[in-house]
Amino acid sequence: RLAQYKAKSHDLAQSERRRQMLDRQKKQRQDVANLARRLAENDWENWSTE
Amino acid sequence: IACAELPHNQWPGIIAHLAGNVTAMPARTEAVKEATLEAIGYICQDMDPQHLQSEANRILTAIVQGMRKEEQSIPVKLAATNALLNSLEFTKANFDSDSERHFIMQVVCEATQCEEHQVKVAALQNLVKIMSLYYQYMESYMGPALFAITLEAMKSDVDEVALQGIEFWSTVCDEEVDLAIEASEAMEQGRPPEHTSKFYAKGALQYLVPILMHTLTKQEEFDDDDDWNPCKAAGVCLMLLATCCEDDVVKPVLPFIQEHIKSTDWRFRDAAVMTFGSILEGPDPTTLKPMVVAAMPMLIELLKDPSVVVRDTTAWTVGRVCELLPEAAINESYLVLLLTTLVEGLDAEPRVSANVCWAFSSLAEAAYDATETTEDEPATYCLSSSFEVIVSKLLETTDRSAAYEALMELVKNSAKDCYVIVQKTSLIVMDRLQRVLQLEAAVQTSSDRAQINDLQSLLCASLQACLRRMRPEDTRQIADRVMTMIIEMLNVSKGRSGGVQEDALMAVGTLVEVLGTEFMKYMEAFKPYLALGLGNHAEYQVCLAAVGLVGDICRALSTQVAPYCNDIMQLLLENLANDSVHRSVKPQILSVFGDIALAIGAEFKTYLEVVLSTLQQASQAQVDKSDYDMIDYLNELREGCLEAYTGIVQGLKGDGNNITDIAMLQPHVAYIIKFIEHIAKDEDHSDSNVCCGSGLLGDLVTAFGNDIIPLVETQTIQDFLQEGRRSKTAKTKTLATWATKEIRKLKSPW
Repeated sequence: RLAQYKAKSHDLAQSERRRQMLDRQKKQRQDVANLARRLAENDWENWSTE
Repeated sequence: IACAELPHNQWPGIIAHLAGNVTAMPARTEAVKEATLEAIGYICQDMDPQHLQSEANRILTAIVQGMRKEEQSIPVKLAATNALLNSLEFTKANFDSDSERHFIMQVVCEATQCEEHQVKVAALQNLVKIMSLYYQYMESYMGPALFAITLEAMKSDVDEVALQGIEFWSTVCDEEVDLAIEASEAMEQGRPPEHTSKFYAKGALQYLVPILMHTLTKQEEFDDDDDWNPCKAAGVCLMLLATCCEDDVVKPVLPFIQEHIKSTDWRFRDAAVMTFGSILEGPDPTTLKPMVVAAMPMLIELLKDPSVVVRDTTAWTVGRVCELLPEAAINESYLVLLLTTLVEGLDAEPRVSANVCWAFSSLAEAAYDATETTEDEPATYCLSSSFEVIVSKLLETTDRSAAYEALMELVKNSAKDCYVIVQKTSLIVMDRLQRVLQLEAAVQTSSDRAQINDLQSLLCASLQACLRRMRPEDTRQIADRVMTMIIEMLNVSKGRSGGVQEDALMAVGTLVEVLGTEFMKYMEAFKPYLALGLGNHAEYQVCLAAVGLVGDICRALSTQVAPYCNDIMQLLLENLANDSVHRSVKPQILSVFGDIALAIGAEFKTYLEVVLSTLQQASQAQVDKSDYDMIDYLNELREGCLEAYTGIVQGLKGDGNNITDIAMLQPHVAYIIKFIEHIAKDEDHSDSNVCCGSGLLGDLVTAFGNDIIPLVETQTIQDFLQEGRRSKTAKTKTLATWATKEIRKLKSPW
């Protein structure tokens, strides 16, 4: 509970920077794979779904 | 001894023996009963509940005997009440039975009326835990007993008693917020929820709020940050009530705020601001916005209040406005005044300036999001004219971590017309890094060491923020200096600070991303440090950062990374086989196999067999499904396997001309598809698993064509793809749709 008192949710501490790095790497990995699949992110909206 | 032996059935009579000590007639001495109940309490506290379930009745009988109001001895009562607290988790069967539950509740409620504070506090602690464990059974007790008992406790002059009373209602809010989430999920899925909220918090709101606001006026003038007292508990409870009761909280708090925000007594001014800050999350933002806009001028004034407590609470409240209602914060009628006052606030006491930094972080994001531009970066925004002043003041601010974090946010969320300042900041940060590195030799005490490490990490992270924002041509000009400094940092922090090493490796990752193939010129010099990072098993965050960096380097250098792959692959495989390497690193290593395969294409053949056999092993991992963390871990591990397979398939396939290379994978295709089926059949699989699995299916189909159609036509795979097509995540939906179309194309090419 003490951590909830006057808590600041905007936190760029190292753990958060680590999480952002992992997210960025995952996104880049997916982007490269999707490029090979000719699925550039900007084109995604044009893909029809069910 | 009992905790060591009972799980192995080696002391089966102990509980009966202990219970006998408490229930024996004629009664044993007070000291024996007290010591026995303490022993029972410790056994219940330390042992896995599953080993005590069969003894639950015996344990409860002894405890309840000690808690009865007829029991005259306070020490016995206290020991029994504490023991009950430790037994609640394995007495579910007793709570399931109406008559037993009534009896337990009666004994606990009676104990809350004990004159002795310690017993009263212990009994109230029981009520808090019972509420969190057995919420669904509390309806019969709430109106007739719990409501009155806990409200009375909240008003107590004894802090420990008041804290438990407040904690009871904070727990009710926690439960009801969870139940609200469960209800909305159930509604989305068109089914009734398993458990329903009884809305106790909403019902009690009008009675709770006045007590909480009164408690907020009991501030200590010079309290320690780590102290916990009713005033702080009341602040948290009010915040939870706002989240739980949403719009309903506004009306009962407004008169207090209006009446006291200009009070001559700082305690009341502070309580009024705290109340206002606490209710900013929960109610509908459109309801709050006009109130916040009206209150902002007053809040800006209160940032200069004579009382440091008021300034601190106000700075926190303004920070929350910036974060939760950003549109209200960047209102042009007072934005300039707000920014000027906040800049002045950076000179205030550390607790105040830390909140001001946080406000700047949120403001930067809000201001950037408010720009309406179709370009990547807005040409200008509402912070542009004050950007230089804010940045230079942040760089002067003594509260280092919050100030640097705000600086990072400002740089990240800067408009084009702030570019020169961003560039200047990168130079200032580099100069500071250089100076800190020179201080290294003079470090003597461990506290100096901690400060220097902390500063190096923050400077490194700030530099990354600048590098991400700078134009590649400008980054190129400083790249040599950046790399020289990072290598020096890695050298001096070796074996000393994992934190610094981690941030240094992340900074290299940023540089790699910006420079692309131009990073090649640093590879020879950097190679030993990458190897050290990959071999740092003791500090897994460093190892994790190094593994991620391998992926970055692969994406940047592509085939040029090949000469370094033997060494890298060997270290990665060693890490996977090493039990002392933290488990969180392993899924990332698998993913990076995919990055390497994709980068070097056909040259990955050298590692193919060993990697495929490693993947086969990893894909068969099993975990304890009763542990949620392990379920998440299994999903991450499987995602790592899926990403590795994806990189291998795409890498070997290349541009599609090299048929022999992809053919090497043919014998493994059936296994890979079985692995996806295995994931599909696991009801705990994640959406991310579906996303990666669908992509891999599409890749396999495009690479191997008609040969594998029978393998993907199973009901399990079709259901898996359908789940993907119906996913709420755009990427999953798109990949599953793409894979489905690739399969259809093969089946009916015309």
